[in-house]
Amino acid sequence: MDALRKLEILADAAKYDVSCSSSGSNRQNKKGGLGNASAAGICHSWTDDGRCISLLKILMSNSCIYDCAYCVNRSSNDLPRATFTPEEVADITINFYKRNYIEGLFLSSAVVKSPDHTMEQFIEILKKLRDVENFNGYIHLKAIPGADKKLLDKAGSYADRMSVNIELPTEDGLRMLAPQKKQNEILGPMNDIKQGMLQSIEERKIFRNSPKFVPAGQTTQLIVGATKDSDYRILKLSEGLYNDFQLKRVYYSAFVPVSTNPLLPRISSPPLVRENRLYQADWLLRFYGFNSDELLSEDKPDFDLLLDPKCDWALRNIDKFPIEINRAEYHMLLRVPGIGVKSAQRIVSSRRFCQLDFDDLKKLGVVLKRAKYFITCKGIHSGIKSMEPVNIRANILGDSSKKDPRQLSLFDLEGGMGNDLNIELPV
Amino acid sequence: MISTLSYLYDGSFEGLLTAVWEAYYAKEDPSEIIWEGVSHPNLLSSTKMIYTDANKADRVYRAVEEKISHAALRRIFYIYLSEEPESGIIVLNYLRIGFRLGAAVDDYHAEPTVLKSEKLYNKVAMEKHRLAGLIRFKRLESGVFYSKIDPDHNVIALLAPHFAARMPSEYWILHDAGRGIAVFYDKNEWVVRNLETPEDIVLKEEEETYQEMWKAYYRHLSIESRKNMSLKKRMMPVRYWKNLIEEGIELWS
Repeated sequence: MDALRKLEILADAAKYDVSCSSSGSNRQNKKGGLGNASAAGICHSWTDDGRCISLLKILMSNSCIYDCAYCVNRSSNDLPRATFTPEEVADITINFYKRNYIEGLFLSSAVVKSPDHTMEQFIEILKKLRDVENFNGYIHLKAIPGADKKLLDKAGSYADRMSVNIELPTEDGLRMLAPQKKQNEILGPMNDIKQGMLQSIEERKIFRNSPKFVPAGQTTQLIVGATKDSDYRILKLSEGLYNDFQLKRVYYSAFVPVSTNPLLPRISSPPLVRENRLYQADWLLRFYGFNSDELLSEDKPDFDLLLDPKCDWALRNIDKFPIEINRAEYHMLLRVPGIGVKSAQRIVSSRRFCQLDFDDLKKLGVVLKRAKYFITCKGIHSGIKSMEPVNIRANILGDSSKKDPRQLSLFDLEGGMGNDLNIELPV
Repeated sequence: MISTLSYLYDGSFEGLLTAVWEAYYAKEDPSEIIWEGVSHPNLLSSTKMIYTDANKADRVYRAVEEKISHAALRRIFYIYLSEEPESGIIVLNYLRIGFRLGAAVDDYHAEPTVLKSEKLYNKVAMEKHRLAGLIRFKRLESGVFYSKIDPDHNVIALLAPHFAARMPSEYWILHDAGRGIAVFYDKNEWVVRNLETPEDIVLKEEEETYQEMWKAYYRHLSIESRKNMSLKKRMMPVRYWKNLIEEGIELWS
């Protein structure tokens, strides 16, 4: 089989991994070498589904020993199988890189023969790229659960980022759909990567040239909608991963039906709105100072599909509003629907020069159509008379009902550059 | 009758800085500062020709760096590279506020001129960032990596250091076909020279193989059930597609 045919098969098999980010590393080029990493990440193209292509995202092989129901590469699935040689992966990576098609490589794989064998093959490829070809572009490597820790350590010294996909948010889901996998086999390597990173940071304080270990951090992916897990459970899990494992990103992937296994839900299209809500909530956790218990609870375990999580929170806490733009503290500005991180920062720096009015806010990028219910400017409120949540909600939904539901909260994409998922951020 | 004053300059960054010097020392308030090549005579305005003077330009350059900030210097350079007709006057008015407020000027987002300067700066910075990803090199028979782009703004010199750091051991050319200029890199340093669009280009044999692979990869990565062309077009404006291997019309394949 020629490399082109393999590429078709193994790119197709890798596309359900949503992460394609090339950010977080500032690896420098070496003398006579090829490539470096850009800390902000660079997108090189966008596919028809609107996702950015930053890396050559391929499986090394799709010949899997496992038979997970949700996965397209499960061993019982009848589909063409292929395996790249290390030379082929290195050759495509380097030639794509020199033509500026990509920022680097995102290498994943089905489990071939055994987890250890698969990791050993990965290391072969990384050695070839880094040591032989002197390639210093970005490399994101998938850690294979169940592989020996020594192999993980070795691989981590070559990669910019590593990830272990949790995929199914709860042990129950895992038992049902992926009986050959165990949750501790997934969390184990995550913890090892975290320890490796911490250790490398400590060592580099003493020996400046001691090698970096996964400098761009680790990420994971959760599938949304393949099991009955609520948004609350998923968000709680993410919060724990950010706090306990210091993950850089948790990606959410709306379940795309790839099999007719009776254990799987029957859906006609992936739950994209739900996926978007989870991303918005994820942003609220990381950049807006929210915690998961403010957004959801056992009594209200799922997000409102019509309203973004921040708006939903604001309506449930309407007694805190309206706030005065010229006096409110930064952390409170962040909680106003229609105000994002960037516009909150711009409000704080601009109001040192003058009192801001509604016109100024518009210029600063505030989405007034949404914010007006929750703020005053120089004491003036321009929302509706009533501060009853049900009335405000009706007005907001009235404004957005003309739009595609996927674009309910279509605001400025702050931090959008280098962002591999073009999701609508909460503002 | 209202009479306005137009400054004409030679289109160089030094020329623009000389114009700023002139406005300060002649105590004049021009309503536009434009490149002489694009100016249209206007009965209602008087014009003044600005003769580029390296000393005057240098004094303005250092004043911006010392009295405002290095970021302000970068901002006016990017605005200059935007080549928008109003870029000259925005630079002057932005600097007037900058000399008054110092480094804090960039925080004054609500000020109309500062806001305009920020928007124009962002447009150029955005295009530079986008093209860092959207540039496609083709390998010529000689081994040189050649790329043709048609940017809105004059950004090739901003992109050159990026590729010089990445591909120090290759020969490459970054060709702004619309402006007829190109960055040439010779494995040591890069220079900007004039370059007309070449009539026929011979590609290295391997080139087709990798282009085919890239197109196949691109096709296979999209998830049909998530198709969203409007999102794609928002992230990657259609005007950039013509020079992409995966989207564009193949000129020389």
